[in-house]
Order: sequence, then C-alpha cells, then structure tokens
Amino acid sequence: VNGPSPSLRDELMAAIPNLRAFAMSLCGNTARADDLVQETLVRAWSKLQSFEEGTNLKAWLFTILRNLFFSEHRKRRREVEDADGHLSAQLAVHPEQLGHMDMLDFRVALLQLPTDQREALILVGAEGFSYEEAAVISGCAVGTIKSRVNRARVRLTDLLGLQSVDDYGPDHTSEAIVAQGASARPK
Amino acid sequence: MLDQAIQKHLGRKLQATYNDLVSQPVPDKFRQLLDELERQEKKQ
Repeated sequence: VNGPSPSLRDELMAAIPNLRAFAMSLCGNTARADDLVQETLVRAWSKLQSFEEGTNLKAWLFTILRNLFFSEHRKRRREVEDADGHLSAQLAVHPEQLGHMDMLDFRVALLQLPTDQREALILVGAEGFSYEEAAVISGCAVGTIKSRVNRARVRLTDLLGLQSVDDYGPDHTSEAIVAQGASARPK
Repeated sequence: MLDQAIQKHLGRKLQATYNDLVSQPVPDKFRQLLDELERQEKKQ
C-alpha cells in the first residue's frame, strides 16, 4: 500500500491551525469548524493518491474544506428556507449595535459579510493566496474573486463606520499583534 | 475605490483577527485522528 510519506503526515498536521482558522472564519462556530477540519483530514487522507506532490498542499486542503462547507451550507439554507419561507439572519447582532473599533467588533463585522465575500477576503487578505490561487480554490473566475474582495472591503468599511482619519489612524497595538501572529504562523 | 489608508487598516485588522485564530492551540483529537488513519492504513 502506498501510504502517505511521514513528511506528508507532518504537512497535514502543520496545516491544521490554518484549516481551523479558515473553517472558523467561514462558519463562525468552533465546534462546527472542528467537524469540518476533521472531515477534511479524513477526505484528504483517502484521496492523497490524487494529490500531486510538489503542488500546493495547503491550497488543496483549503479546496476540500470549503467544498465541504458550501455543500453543507447550501443544504442547511434550503432546510431553513423550507421551514421558514425566508432566510434566517446569519447573526443576531445588527450593524447599529457595533460599537467602537476593536478586535471583537471586527470579528462580528466579518461574520456579517455574505459568505462568498468573506471567503474571498480571508483567502487573499489573511491567508495570502494570490487572486489566481483563490479563484482555483473557490472554483470561480479571478475577476469574481477580485470583485468579492472589493465588495467585502466596502461593506466592512460601512459596517465599522470607518470614515474619518481618527478611525483608522496608526494602531500600534494591532501592529504588534500582526507582527507576533505572523511569526507564529506556520507557513 | 476605497481610501488606501482604510484598505491598509482593514488589512491589518483582518490579519490580526485571523492570526489570533491561527495561533489557537490545536486540540489533541486531530493528532489522534491522523495516528488512527495511519494505523488503519498499515493494517490493510
């Protein structure tokens, strides 16, 4: 049997923090995110033969995870629509309740974005995939990714009430966090 | 087009928020899962 080489197993292991962060960003729920990651790992393991070594393992894993998420998401949405005749609000928090800018508010604002926009923004803005890579992962055109990212930014600006210079002036605390996070982030 | 400063600010916030998620400790069940998958494969 051609099992995955030890290095591939380690690579799967190393990808887990990013897969969890991506899953949590998509569904906004830790338990569901962990289920998604678990399912992704099982799927990836059974399909490792179809993975071409030397290509981007992380992108491949992200593709599996988002496909699992969106097929479940569509199913759930249909169920909700069938039951209620309309979509339930994704979050119980309204934009008016968003207070001043801090990390929690940003997270709440992020979860208010339509899922496809949030996905595009995370892939490009947080994970650092190129527009081309993000398009392959999401199975859509590069232009679609670009427009989703752009719409996400506009919507976030709106949700966070960013207008004046004071609102987005130098923020040394978050810069320190970015620097710290970047070094802790497995590549 | 969005103001460049706003875009930069959003980028930083996004990365800080996301890196916060990435740096959360990984539950041990994932390592156990990979161990189990490996074990099953060796049995075959």
